[in-house]
Amino acid sequence: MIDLRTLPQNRVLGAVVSVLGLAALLFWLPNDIDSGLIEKVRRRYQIGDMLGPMVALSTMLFGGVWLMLSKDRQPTGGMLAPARAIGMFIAFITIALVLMRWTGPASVWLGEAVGLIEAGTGYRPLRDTLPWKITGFLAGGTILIWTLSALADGAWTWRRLGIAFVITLVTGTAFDLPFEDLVLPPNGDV
Amino acid sequence: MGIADHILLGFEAVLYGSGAVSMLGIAIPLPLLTVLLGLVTGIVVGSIPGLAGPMAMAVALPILISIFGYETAAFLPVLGFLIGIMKGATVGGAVPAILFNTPGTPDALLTTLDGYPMTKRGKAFKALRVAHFSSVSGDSISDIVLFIGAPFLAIMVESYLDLPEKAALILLSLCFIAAIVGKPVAKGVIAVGLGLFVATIGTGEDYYPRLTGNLLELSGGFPIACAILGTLVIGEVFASLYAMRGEIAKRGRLVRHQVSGDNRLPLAEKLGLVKFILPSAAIGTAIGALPGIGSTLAATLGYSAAKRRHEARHPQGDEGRFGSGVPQGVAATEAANSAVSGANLIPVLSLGIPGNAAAVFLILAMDSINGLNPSPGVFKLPTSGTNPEMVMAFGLFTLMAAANILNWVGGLHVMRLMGNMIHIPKQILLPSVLLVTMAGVYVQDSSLLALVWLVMFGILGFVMRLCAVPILPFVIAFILAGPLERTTRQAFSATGGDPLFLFSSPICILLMAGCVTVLIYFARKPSS
Repeated sequence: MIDLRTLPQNRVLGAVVSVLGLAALLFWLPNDIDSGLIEKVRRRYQIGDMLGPMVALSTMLFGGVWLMLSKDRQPTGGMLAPARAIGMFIAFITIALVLMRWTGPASVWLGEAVGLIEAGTGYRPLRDTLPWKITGFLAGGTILIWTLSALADGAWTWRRLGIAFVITLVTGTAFDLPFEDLVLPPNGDV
Repeated sequence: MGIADHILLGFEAVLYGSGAVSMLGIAIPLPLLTVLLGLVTGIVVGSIPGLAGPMAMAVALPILISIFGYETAAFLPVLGFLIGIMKGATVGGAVPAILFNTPGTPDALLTTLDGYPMTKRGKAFKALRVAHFSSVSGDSISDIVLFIGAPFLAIMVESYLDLPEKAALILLSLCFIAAIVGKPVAKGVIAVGLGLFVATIGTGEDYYPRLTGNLLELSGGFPIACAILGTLVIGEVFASLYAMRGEIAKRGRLVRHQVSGDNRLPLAEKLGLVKFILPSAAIGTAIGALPGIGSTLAATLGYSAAKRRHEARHPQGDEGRFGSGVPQGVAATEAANSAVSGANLIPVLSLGIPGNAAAVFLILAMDSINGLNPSPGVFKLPTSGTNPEMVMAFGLFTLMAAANILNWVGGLHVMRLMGNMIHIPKQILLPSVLLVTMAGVYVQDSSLLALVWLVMFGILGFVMRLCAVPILPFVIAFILAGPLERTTRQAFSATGGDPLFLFSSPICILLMAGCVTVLIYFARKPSS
């Protein structure tokens, strides 16, 4: 069985790009674009919507085949570490975005439950008032900075969490205090 | 109205066109204030290793648009801030290179060769003075070439190029950028193809937005800010964080050297440096005018040329050798890399074609705000009345000149202050940049979906970096895809549906032959 890690990296990349480019040319384009390469509209010929993507994909295909034919001896190497890093980036950012989106509404719901806020108020009427308007940004931003920085150097410490909180607080304040019209996430969506 | 009237109107637009801020009873025109703030921001950003001018421009742009809006009055304040950052970051990159042997920006790498040895001898402030003097001189010379070259080139293009030639010219610039940045060239070609393809998603002239697969969220195409900030900035953040894993422990602590002896830079010494600054500035300007060739190459060539000349004149090494801490080495490098920034705007303002990452953000700003749509038509003299775009272009030139004057006057003081501010760990700095970019994109789009696109393009940028596929051709192709398709459609219609319209004139044939030639030439040339 062929070990992918020993294959020349440029040739592997060229092959992947060529296959994807060809597949898009043959299957995606004809099924998702109504007009052809050139059309006759009101007795005049004009370029259709198909031409632009076709030229772009043909360029990619040309580059992919060219790369496949290039002289290259550098092995592809392991792909597990980059794939794991991508997975972690996506996971941490997803957690941060979920916190950003839901911490504000959740804290208002909690406030209603313990009687701090009048029952049935909801997050929307409070999203322009402190501390609610910055709660989501603070929670999501702190986790974003903490997790990504700790991913780089392994410092999963409370001190780093505190630094992340302070940076997020300063960022949020810098956006929110001087500029009344700027909306921090997630307040434009909820 | 003639050129002189437009220059005057551009000057007036800076002074009176965008409002003023009262400080201590003095009215300061808003564009001048934003240039000053941008310049200081740029020097700060340039002084921090791991950050760069384009990164700060990326973060600042959505915030500036949210503050100033999209109207014509916002054009000069927003562009002024971005120009300030661009110029400040160039000069700021020398600070950590000289003080800590760590280049703040990649093009300041060669500044370490002579700058740091000077610091070790107690001449840190003198090295900073040399770097500042040379950098601002190189930048000013390059700007003068821009002020003369851009209108001249635009008038030539407008006079001689029709629609088919303009389409061929865009193709030539894409081939050039793919050939020069791609190592090997095939990777540059793939990046251009990908950029063109991604830009076609959700656009077109049919009633149904093409290639969206019925996804309503894609019906307007990918937001340009998300695509560009994602691949250029977020991708770089991911790549740096990935590269940093495991390397942190290996790094040593920064060593601070004491300043001692005479650190002044007298006029006679400044004049002595001019003969090193001028050739380096010429090299930087020539390289900067070509799209895609970075300031690092300009610095390398400027330094090598100055070193050869210095060694030929002083074979015994009686005035010190390059690499041992001679001010001439710092001057040659800084003049060359700073001269790139002004000349890089020649293709931007005359043709609407960005040549580097900083120019991409200037184009993005011009694209977002009313006032100037960079193209050869900007410098076209009207038969009667004024050309408002030309007025804005000369307003921009005024701001660049103002940025240079402010840099001459106060840049050195900010550089010296920055010596104490570069100790922010990169592993904390980069996620913070990510958060600020996300906040910046959100204040412009007010949608979490924009953040999702931003992160997705960040992952794309990271994967491209891992595969050594260059980002700049992708970004430039993404920006030029719209103008290319529009010009091609118009050219095809204008030639009566001639399928060979790209070969319809000798200039067209020459430009298309140029496309093939650059690809073959750079493919045959062994990459260094």
